[in-house]
Amino acid sequence: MGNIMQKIVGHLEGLILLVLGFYLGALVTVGGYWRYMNPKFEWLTGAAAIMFIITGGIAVLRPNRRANLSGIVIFLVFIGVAAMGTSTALQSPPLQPGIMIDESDQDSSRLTLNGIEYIKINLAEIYQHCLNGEADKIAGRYLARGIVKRTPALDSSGQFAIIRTAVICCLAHAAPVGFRVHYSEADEFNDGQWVKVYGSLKTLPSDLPNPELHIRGLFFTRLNKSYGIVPTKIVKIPEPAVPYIFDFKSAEPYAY
Amino acid sequence: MFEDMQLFSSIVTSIFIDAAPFLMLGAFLSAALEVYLPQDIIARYIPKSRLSGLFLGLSAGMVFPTCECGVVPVARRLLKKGVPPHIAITYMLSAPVINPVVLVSTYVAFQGDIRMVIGRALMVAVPACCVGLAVGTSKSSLLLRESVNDHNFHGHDHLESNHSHAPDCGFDHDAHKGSRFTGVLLHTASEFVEMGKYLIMGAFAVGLFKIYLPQETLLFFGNNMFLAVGGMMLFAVLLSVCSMADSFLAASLTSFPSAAQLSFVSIGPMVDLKLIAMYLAVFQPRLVLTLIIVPTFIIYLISVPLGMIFG
Repeated sequence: MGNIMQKIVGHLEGLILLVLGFYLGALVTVGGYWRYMNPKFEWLTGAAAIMFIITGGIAVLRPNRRANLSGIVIFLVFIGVAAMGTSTALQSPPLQPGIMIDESDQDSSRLTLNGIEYIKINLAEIYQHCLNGEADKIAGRYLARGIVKRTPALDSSGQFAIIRTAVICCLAHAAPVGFRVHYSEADEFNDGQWVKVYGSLKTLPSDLPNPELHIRGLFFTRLNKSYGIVPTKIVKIPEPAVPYIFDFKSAEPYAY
Repeated sequence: MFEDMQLFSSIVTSIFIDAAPFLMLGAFLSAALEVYLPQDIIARYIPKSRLSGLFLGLSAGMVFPTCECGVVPVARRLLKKGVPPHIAITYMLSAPVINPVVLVSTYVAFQGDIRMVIGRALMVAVPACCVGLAVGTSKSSLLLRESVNDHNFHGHDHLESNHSHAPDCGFDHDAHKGSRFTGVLLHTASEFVEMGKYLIMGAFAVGLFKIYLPQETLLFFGNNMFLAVGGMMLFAVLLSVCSMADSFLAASLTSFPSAAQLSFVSIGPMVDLKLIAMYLAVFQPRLVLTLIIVPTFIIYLISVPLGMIFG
């Protein structure tokens, strides 16, 4: 490479770090971070963004004359790939604690329907209670949200599945969790419809076949094998502004 | 097709955002070691006995916790600074698991099952020590690849005030006129881009696997101990989950035996797609093969009998 070219490549190395720093900073401050990561790691990404900006700024001012051209090309390709989802991400609302679907949900950790009180909870939290075998918690009446997943096997046994994606760290490693819902009129719901389910848990027979639920791009969809939900009411709802589960609590008030 | 591209973009970007802080930290530590750590200090304080060295390598993660994305550049810098390979390589393989953050996350994920925590630590420590012993006191130059970036750093000791540079060393000498901390930041930038490209290539591969690998393949492995352990190890390599989060994923796979879950959380932090790309960039092919084959065999050979005995 000629000297001028080397200098340009050196400047590019710094510029790439600067762009990445501002990109990460924008995700954390403007919004949309939750589309990729659990928001509890915002501080970590924010700190990294500052480091990117500082190191990138210095590298622009004092370009490395042996900057790695192949590295720069790969980073440019990555920036192109990331840009595909960036506009959507940056237009997403910043996450507020406990974003709810409708106003009536926002008041307390419980909701009364026909004189019966339901505990608002997310599917990962119920799943955890079942995994831990906490009998007092399993006996509760719950209100949970998720998407409907239907398969021929579930349809034939008068069930559908309610699923929601739990994000522990990043979206790439997220895992959908859910339960079978005993409901013979599953035809009322299309696959992918968001619903609120009021109900309680019921033990499932041990010989139920695995319905093999798949969500594209996500591995390890987990449908609880021991318990299913017996609904008292199912309500169709629009997709929530933030569809993922980021918070997991072991007692009330749950993250819902 | 457009949906696939959007999904691919989300997966790759989220892996990068997840790993970038740790890789940046690793690059920064590596640069700080380069600039501030004189070789005579290493020679003075590194234990002479092989056993003490292995113990130091195994326990260093408790003091310098890092995940697998950040540890490779640190290990490379330690080797270049003259730290014996059995310490640096043992540290590189064990630190992503044998550190307080990951041990606590394993404890939480497996609901306080201390056997899983100890099992994971041992399952990582054994192959880390074996590889450490195998590389022994080999010369670093026989283990490390000569890369473009090595010329940038050209191995000089920044503590020496009268050090001289070759005229074509490539690094911006004006930077050295500034503070040594500026030098650290410049090295950090360069090191991040050098290692980050392998992180990105690994993330691209993971994205493709997650979109196009049929999920039924996972179910195929579930019922037989030999296949369950092998399958979970293969998935750990392909999915390249960070060591801070993999135990939550493994703990939820209740249809797999505990031994298979243990193999999943043990192999991933030592061998995965991102790491293989980084190993290939940093180490000689023979060492890369050792880094892949030895942990894979040892973990498999421990996990299967464990599974047969305890389930």
